[in-house]
Amino acid sequence: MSKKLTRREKALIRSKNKLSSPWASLLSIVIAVLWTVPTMGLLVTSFRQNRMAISTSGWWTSFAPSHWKDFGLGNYKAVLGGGYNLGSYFVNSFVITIPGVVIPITLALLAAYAFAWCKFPGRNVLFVAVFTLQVVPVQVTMIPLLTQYVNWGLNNTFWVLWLSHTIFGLPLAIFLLHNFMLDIPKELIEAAKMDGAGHVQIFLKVVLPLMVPAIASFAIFQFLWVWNDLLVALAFAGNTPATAPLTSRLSDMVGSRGSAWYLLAPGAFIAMIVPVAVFLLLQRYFVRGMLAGSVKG
Amino acid sequence: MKRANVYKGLAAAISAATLVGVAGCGSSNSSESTKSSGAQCAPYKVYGDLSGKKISVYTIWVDQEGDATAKAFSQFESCTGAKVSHEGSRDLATQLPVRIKSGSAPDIAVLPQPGLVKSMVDTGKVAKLSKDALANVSKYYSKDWQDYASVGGKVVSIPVDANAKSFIWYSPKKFKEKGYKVPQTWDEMVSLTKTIAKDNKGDTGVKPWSVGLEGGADSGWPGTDWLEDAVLRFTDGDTYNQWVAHKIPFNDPKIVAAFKEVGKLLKNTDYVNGGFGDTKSIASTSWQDAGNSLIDGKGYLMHMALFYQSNYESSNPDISISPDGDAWAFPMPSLEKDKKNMLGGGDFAVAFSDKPEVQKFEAFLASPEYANARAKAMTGWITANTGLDESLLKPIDKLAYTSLTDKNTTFRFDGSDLMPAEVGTGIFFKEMISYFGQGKSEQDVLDTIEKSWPAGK
Amino acid sequence: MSFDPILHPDTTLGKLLAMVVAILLFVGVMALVLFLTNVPKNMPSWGVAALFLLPSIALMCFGLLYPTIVTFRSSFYGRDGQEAVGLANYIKIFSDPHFLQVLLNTVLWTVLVPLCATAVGLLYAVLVDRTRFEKLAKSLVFLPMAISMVGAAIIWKFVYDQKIGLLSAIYLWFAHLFGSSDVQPPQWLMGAPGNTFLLILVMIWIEAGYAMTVLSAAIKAIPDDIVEAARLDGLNGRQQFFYMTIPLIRPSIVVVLTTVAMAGLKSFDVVRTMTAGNYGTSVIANEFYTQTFQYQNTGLGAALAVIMFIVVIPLIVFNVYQMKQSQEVR
Repeated sequence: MSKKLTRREKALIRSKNKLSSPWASLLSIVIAVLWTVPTMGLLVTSFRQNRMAISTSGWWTSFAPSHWKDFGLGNYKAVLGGGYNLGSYFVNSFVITIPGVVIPITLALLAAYAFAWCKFPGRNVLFVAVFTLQVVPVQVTMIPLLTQYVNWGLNNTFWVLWLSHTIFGLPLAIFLLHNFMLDIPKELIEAAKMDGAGHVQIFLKVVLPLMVPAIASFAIFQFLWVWNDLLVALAFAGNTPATAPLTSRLSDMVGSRGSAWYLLAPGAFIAMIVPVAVFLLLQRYFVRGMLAGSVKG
Repeated sequence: MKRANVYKGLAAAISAATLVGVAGCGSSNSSESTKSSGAQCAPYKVYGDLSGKKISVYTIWVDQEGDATAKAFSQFESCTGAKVSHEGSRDLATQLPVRIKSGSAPDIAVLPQPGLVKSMVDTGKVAKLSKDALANVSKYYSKDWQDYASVGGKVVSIPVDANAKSFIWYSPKKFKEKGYKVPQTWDEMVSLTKTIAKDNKGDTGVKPWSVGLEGGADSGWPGTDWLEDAVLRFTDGDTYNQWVAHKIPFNDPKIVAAFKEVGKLLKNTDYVNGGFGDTKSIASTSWQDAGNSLIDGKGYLMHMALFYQSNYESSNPDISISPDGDAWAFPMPSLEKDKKNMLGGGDFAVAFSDKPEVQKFEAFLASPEYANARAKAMTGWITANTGLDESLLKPIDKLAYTSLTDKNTTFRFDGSDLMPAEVGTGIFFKEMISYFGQGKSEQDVLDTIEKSWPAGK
Repeated sequence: MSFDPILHPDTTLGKLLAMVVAILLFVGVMALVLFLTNVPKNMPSWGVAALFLLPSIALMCFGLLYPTIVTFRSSFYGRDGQEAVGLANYIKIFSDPHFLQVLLNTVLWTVLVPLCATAVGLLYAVLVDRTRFEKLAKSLVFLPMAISMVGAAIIWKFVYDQKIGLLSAIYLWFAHLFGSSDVQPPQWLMGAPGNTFLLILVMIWIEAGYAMTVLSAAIKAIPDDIVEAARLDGLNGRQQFFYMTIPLIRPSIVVVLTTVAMAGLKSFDVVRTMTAGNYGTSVIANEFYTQTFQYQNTGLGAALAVIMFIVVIPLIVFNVYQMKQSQEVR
């Protein structure tokens, strides 16, 4: 293994590796545009105040100077004002999501570690079983789970939401984190073992720090799924101000579909703010070269 | 159709923001009610003292409609001391069976159609209505409505609200401008259609009728209303009942004939689809958007329930809904002038508990006190309860209310609501979409539905 | 003592407090697990695995495995789960042309969505990697992921609508370009089989962000010294992509393909909100939902869910094969 690269060498690699071909640049721009234009339509729509025009003319037609007067913040005011009381639902979403992300990731890290670095009989079979469980639709679990929650007297509480989101998140979390855990060089683990470290020490001191990018990338998605969830919240905790998340409030406001574009469009954007912020925040942890050079040659 | 009420709820919810300044959270969790007395509480004396009792109510009403519901319960709470917790969810039809099977049924649930009432009764979990509630139902509701609230000849539910569906929306202003008259018979309606088509011959964008069937997962239901209305008019009330109950085949020749009358209007490219395109566009046009054409003059007529008013209110608050304004509706005419036919729907409350306080609450739901409290809480709402104080209704609601309680009108419940869910919310919807979207023939559509009618139902 | 404030908090502060209590409780349990693992000297490997796996496996058995078994059982029963009907539900599914169409669509979804989403995600992740605008560029493709499925369906209404849709506008623009001025754009979502592909496109649009994010994390884990070595060997960009990047992140690609396939198989929101399964666009997940919850036909719904498991079998085989390969390498 080579020694750790100097800053200058890294810069050299970066410059060399830059999109040298104009075709590559063009391609990435094309993808970015294709992926953004549909959302643009919604964004533009969210500022169009002429409710009738939204459903009778294409969103791009509003760029014509004669239509500029239609633009404004009226739609956002309609969603945020009007006594919809989004604040308290926001709190609920927050309260549901934090444990709904932290708990499954922690459990999955332990499980992934066991699958990756502990030898035990039946390991592969068990692992395949776990990853197969990804396909179980939430809907088939509703009656058995709710029956238990009712028996325990825990239905309509945050507790069953945390529990449920943990359960539904686990198979994918274990599957994904296991994959990243396998990327950790075997030598590192062996070296730690030679130094007399037990599994707990290896897990906490060697594996966890190296897993930060993987945890960050999975956390983004678990966060998204829990934050955007409607079904789990509705099934296990009901649609009351005590526990209902922002999504169920927004869906009450605007329905699953309708001509109320003037509410739907800004509603969708308001709901997006937090996930996008989390993405930007966690992107910092997608650091390059966590592993590079950590194995001393 | 099954979800009409859900949509009504949705549409009303959207518009209500502009109607009443409702504050606070959606589903009520009103603060601990303290018992009060006074003149306002006189009608509530019969329910006695329910201090400290809790009643849970699960409905499809959310947002502003949910708030209005909670408000309608508040007088009951303050006069009896009971605490009513209301939870609204548009997914009630799917969530309620889950809750029942999991052992967490609410005390009272409000179901969007009679078909669902029957399947709830079949679960064996539905409690008998109290004597007081039954007395109120028989006192304040017509024989027809008592029947719709019954399963196996016994009243098991309370028709807590209603809607009237056989209406044609039009623009009185535009009609006056062009000198069109509101038709009194089906034939007049057809000749009005011809006149409008002729007057706009040169303009390909303008057509007499605007029709929209698209509505997300429930696309197709406005088409079922068209067919049901035609069946009711071109056959008779009894045939309609037999057809809905599947006592005669779905594709009976009489039904095919009635359907063809719909086809004469809606499959004619000279007559449809005002503001949206050709016949095919009927399948892809959102029913919520269809009425916009009447306002911008691209269409002149739209068959749609009266709850559509809230769509106008939400799409543009400046639209005036009045007999001489931008939008108004006339009852869909029958073959003869003095024969009146009306289709309608409604929501039904059933109880899953026989606790005394729940029984009292049932009686309240069937009473004029509830009807009036609810009418006061938010407009755009009617009921078949004859004890309702008409002066609380705004003009368009009064039009609906009159059509539902008029003794000379043949009233029939929306057929798709009474059919098994596989038909009434499934294949019937889908085939109406194919009828327009894929140009299927009337016979084909009815044959397909007949073939897939679930065995034993 | 009453647990009510912790179970049913009614103020914002109370809710946050309950959340903190839950997290502390969880941390306590985890500390206990780690402590128990650490106490015995020379804990065997399987012992560590048992303790590490116990919480997850227990939860999954309770929340996923048990309901699955119940589902398997009810797939052999009638609509209310009372009467055993043998294979009747399965026979109905495999003999009804409507359901056969649904099965075909489902296979298309399960194959095309992961392949295309992963391809786009990978390509994009590589293209923008190490560029100046990387963060912004990645955010743009990630955006669809952040929008709920229902939101996505709304967005695409503005693309596929015959009248106000962008696709129709582009169609008309091309039509004008080629001289035909009096044409109507087609009803995009009504024409089979194209409509299924248009819906699949929506799902690809959503899932590409996921693929990109995970694969980007994997690309970033490639040690710099390897990149350096590749460069010194004179590999150009395309060669690096095929001979270095792809082999190195191959396990991640497999993971992404698998998870996206599962997501594509399970998802019905796009179909449900955009076409309601009409015009031959339905998929198993949508039929499962309709039968189970709309028609209350538990038996048929369960059989459809079981078929979803069957569709996954090739994926499992694929993964087992990949696992064996990578274990040989290690």
